[in-house]
Amino acid sequence: MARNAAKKTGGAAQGSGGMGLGLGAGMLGFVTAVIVIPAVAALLIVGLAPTIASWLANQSPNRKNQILTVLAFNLAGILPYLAKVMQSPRGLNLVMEITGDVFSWLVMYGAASAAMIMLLAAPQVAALVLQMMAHDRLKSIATAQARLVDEWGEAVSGETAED
Amino acid sequence: MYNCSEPLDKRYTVAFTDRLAELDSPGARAFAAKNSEDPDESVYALVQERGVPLRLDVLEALMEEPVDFLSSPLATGLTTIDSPTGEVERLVIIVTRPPGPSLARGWDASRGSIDQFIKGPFLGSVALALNGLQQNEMPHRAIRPGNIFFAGEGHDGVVLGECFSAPAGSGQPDVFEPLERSILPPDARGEGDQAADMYALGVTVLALFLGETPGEGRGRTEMFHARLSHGSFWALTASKQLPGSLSTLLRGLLNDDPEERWDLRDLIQWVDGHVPQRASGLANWSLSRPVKFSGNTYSDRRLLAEAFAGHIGEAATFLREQDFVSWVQQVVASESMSDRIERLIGIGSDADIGGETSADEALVAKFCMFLDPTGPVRYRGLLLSFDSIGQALASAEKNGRQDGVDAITELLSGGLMVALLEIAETRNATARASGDQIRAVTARAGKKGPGMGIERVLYDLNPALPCQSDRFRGGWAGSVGGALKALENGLASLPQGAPMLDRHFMAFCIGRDKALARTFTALAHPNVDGAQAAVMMLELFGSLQISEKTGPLKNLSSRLADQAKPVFKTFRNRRSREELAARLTGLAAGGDLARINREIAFSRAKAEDNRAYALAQARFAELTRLRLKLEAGITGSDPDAQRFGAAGASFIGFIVLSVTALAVFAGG
Repeated sequence: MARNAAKKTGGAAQGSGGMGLGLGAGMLGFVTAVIVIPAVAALLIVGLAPTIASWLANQSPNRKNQILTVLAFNLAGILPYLAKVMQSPRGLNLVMEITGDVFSWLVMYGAASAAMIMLLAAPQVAALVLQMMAHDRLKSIATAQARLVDEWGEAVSGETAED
Repeated sequence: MYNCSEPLDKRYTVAFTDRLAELDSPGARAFAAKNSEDPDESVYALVQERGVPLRLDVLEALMEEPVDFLSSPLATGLTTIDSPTGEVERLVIIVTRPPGPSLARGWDASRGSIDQFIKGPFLGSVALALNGLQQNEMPHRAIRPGNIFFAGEGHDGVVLGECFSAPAGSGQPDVFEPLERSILPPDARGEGDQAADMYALGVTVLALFLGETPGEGRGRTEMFHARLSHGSFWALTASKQLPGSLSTLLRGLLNDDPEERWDLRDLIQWVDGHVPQRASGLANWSLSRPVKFSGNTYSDRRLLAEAFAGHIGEAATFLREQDFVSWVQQVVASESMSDRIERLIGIGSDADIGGETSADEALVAKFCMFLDPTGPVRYRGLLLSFDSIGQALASAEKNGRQDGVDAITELLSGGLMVALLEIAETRNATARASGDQIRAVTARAGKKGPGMGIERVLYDLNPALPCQSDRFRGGWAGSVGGALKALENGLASLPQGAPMLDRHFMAFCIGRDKALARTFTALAHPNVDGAQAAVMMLELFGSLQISEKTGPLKNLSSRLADQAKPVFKTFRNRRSREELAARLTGLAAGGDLARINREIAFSRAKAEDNRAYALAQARFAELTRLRLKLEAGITGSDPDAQRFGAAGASFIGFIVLSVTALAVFAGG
C-alpha cells in the first residue's frame, strides 16, 4: 500500500514535471511573444483565461486530459481572432477592438464552455460503451471459471465444501 | 535333501550329500566342499543356522590374516538352498579342512608316548595358534579334544578347529568352561577371554592324558558343587595319578582365579622347562558363620547364592526376616555392607520392579550377586553373565522361549541389570568390561518406539545376527540391503494388507544404520496414514536400493505403489491425480524404487499441486470480483468511465482544434 502510494505520488510528480516543462516552454514562448508581438500576447492572456482557471482549479485524477480538452477547445475559439491580429498592422488597437466586442467573448469563452460540457458528458458516453463491451467479458469470465472448476473441483470457488 | 544353487566365490562347490558331522558346530552344519580351480585344496563348508549369531569379528580377522595351526575361513557367501522345508537362503563359510582326525577319537599308542606328545607337538602347536589369536585379542573359546585335529602326514603337531561359526563357548562341555561360566547354559557362556582358553586347554590336556573327559559320569550340579568346594583342579583330578610336571601344568591352567591362572607366557616357560612363579591367593568365599537355609547349612557364599536362587520365595522371606545390615556383616565379614550396596539391594523397597513375585526375584537376584559377584546373573530361571546377554537373548528368540525374552526385557528395562552391574563391578572384570554396553542397551530396552525395545537390544548385542523378522523366515538378511532383498522375496507370501514391516525389521535396520531411525520413527507417527507411510517407505527404500545395490525390487515396488496411490486423492488437480496414479502403476512394474521417487517426486508434486491450487483459487476470486462488478452495471461516475471519457474528450478537442486551425490558416 505504501509502495503503491509512493508509486502514485511519483507518477503524479512525473506528470507535474511534464506539465511544468510544457508550462515553462509556454511561458518562454509567451514572453517572446510579449516582446516580439505584444498584441498576440495580449489576446492570448485574455482569451485563454478559462484554460488557466481550469489549470489552477482542477484536482481530478484525469486532470491532464481535462485541461488539454479545455485548452484545445479554448484555442479553437481564439484562433480566428489570433489570425486577424497576426495579419493586421493595427496590433494592440485591433486587440482592443476585439475585446470590446461581446460576440468575440462569446466565441472564445463559449468554446471553452463547450469543452466543459463535453467533459461532463463524456464519462456517461464512455460508461455506455463499456457496458456494451461487458457482455462479452462476462461470457469469457464464466468460461474461465468453469475451466477452473473442471480442473480443481468445486472447492476452488471457495463456496462449497472441499472434495 | 539340500542342494546348492551355484558355486561359492565362483570356485567352491558344496557337496550337500556328504555330511561331515565331526566338524559341525552349535551354529553350523558341516558338508564336504571342493575347490574347482584347485582340487588339491582341502576345504569344507559350514552352513550357518539363521538364529545363531556367529563371531563376525573373529571371522573377518581370520579371513584377513589366517593364523597358523588354526582352521581359517577362506570365503563366505549367501547361497540359496533347497532344504526339506523349502527354498531357503543361508550363509555358507568355506573353511580349511583339518588334515587329520580329531583328538576325541583317542590316542593311538603307535604314535608314541602321550606325555611326550602333550609336552612337545601338542602344546607347541596350540601355543602358536593361541599366540596368533592373542595378537588380535580374540579368544578361541572352543578348545576341546573334539575341536583339535592331528596335523597331516609329515607333521606330528595339531591344528585347532574353527572358532567363528557359533557363539563363544557354546560347543564346550561344562567342565571345559572356567568355573564362573560352567554353570551357564551353553548358549549363554559369554565371549570370555584368553584366561578361559587357558582353562579349556588345561582340561583338554587332562582329557588327553586320561583318555576320557574329566568328571565323566558325574552330574552337572555335582561337578559344579565339587569345583566350587574344592577347586576345579582337585575336582577334576581327584583319584587320578598325574606325573609331577603335568600336575604343575594343570594346577596353573586349572586355577579358578582368572588373575592367578597361567597365561600363554607361563605355558611357554613350562614347555621350555621352567616353572612359572605365580602367587596363589585364592579368593575367600567362605561365610564367617554358617547359614542355615531351606534345611541345609551353607558355609560358602557361592553355594548359598545358588541355594537362594533355587528357592526365590523362601529366600526373599528369609532375607526380609533378618536385621539385614547387621546379619550381612555377621555372615560376610570379609566385606562391609556399604550404604551404596545396601541401597542397590534395596531390601526395604519391595515394589521396585512391580508385583510381589518380581520384587522377590529382584531382591534375591541382587543379593545373590552380592554373595557371588563373579558368578552368573540369576533371575527368573535365567542364568547369564554380563557378556552373554546377547547370546542368551538370541537363543531365546531362536527357540521361541518367550519367558526368556520377557525375563531379559525385565532385567534390562526395569533397571535391575544396572543395579546388578554396580553390585558386581568392583570384583567382576567381565562386569567392568561390559558396563558401558549394558548401560547403552538398557536405555533402549524399555522404549516402545520403532527400532527400540528388546529387538534393538538383540541386534546391538549380536552384530552378526541376521534379521529375525517373520516376514522372511527363509531369507538370510545380514545387512540392510540383505534385509531389503529378503523382504522382497518374503512379500510373495505375505497377504495383501498385512503390515510390511515388523519390529524386528526396523530394529535390525536401525541397529545397522542409525540414520534410518528418523524415517522409521516418522512412519509410526499417529498422524501418518497408510498411504503416507507407503510414500515414506518408497523414498527410504529407493535410496537404500541405490546405496545397497540391491537390484530391482518388483514385489516391494508393486506393493508400495498400491498402498501409496490413495495419496493422490489428496491432490487438488483432478488431471494430476489420474496421470500420477497411472504413471506410478507403470513404474512399479519395473521394480526401480529410486526411479519412482525421481519421476513421481511425491513431496515436490504435492507442493506444486498446493501452489497451483492457491493460484487457481486467487484467479477464481479475481474473476468473481470482476463478474460482480460487470453485473452491477457501469455508470458515469465509475473511474474507468471517467478515465475513458476524459481521454475521449481530449481527443475530440484536438480534432476540433486541428479542423479550426486548418480552416483559419489554410482557408485564409
